[in-house]
Amino acid sequence: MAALPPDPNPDGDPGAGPDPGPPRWVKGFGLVALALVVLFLVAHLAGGGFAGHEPPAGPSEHGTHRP
Amino acid sequence: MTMAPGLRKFALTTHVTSSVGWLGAVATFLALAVAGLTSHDALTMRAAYLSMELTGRFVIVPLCLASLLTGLVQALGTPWGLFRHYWVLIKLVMTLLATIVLLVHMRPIRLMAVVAAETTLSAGDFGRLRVQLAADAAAALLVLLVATTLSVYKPRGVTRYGRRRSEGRTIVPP
Repeated sequence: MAALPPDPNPDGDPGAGPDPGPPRWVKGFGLVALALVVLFLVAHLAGGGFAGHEPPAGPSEHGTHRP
Repeated sequence: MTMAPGLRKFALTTHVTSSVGWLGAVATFLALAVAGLTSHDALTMRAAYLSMELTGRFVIVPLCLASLLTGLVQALGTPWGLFRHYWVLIKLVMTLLATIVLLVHMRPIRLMAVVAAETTLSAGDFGRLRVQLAADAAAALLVLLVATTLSVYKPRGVTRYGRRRSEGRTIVPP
């Protein structure tokens, strides 16, 4: 954020047309981000429903206790 | 509220330092997670998971919170604002999500460190959890790289709120 933002309305015209909506890069970014979030959630749920966040229950998950 | 130039530079320095530090710490965490996942040596695995817990608790979490806080200060204390430009808004959402996911994942990281300290791990133990830690670290690194890219390129695009604010400021009464 070093440089200051450009003036979004350089002519100073308050009625400078209708809202153009989000730019194309924002729409593309949103789609890719949504796909990645879904992938992340599916990977977690397929891996046991966030099971890794709970203490392991099965003995097969345990390592060998040190003597 | 706009900060004075000197204060703005100081705030920017702290924000860049904490954000880049966070990125580097996550890269280190990923290297340790991959080492822990791929190694067949019990000592290497133990060292990796103990180091990951320490790195997460004492480096990644503090830097993450510092980056979020200094980013908020930067946005609110400069004409960029928090909700006026798409790239700032997207960075805020990404940082908030990354912070939440990190704090949630500190529990399995701690669990893995406790297991590594108390048991002798072999290559097949906790396979799913170890893969998950490495995958989450890779995802976090991707998020931080995207955030850094947005900060450098600052792609154009003003939100509806930003346009309204801008129009309100430039209206000259007759």
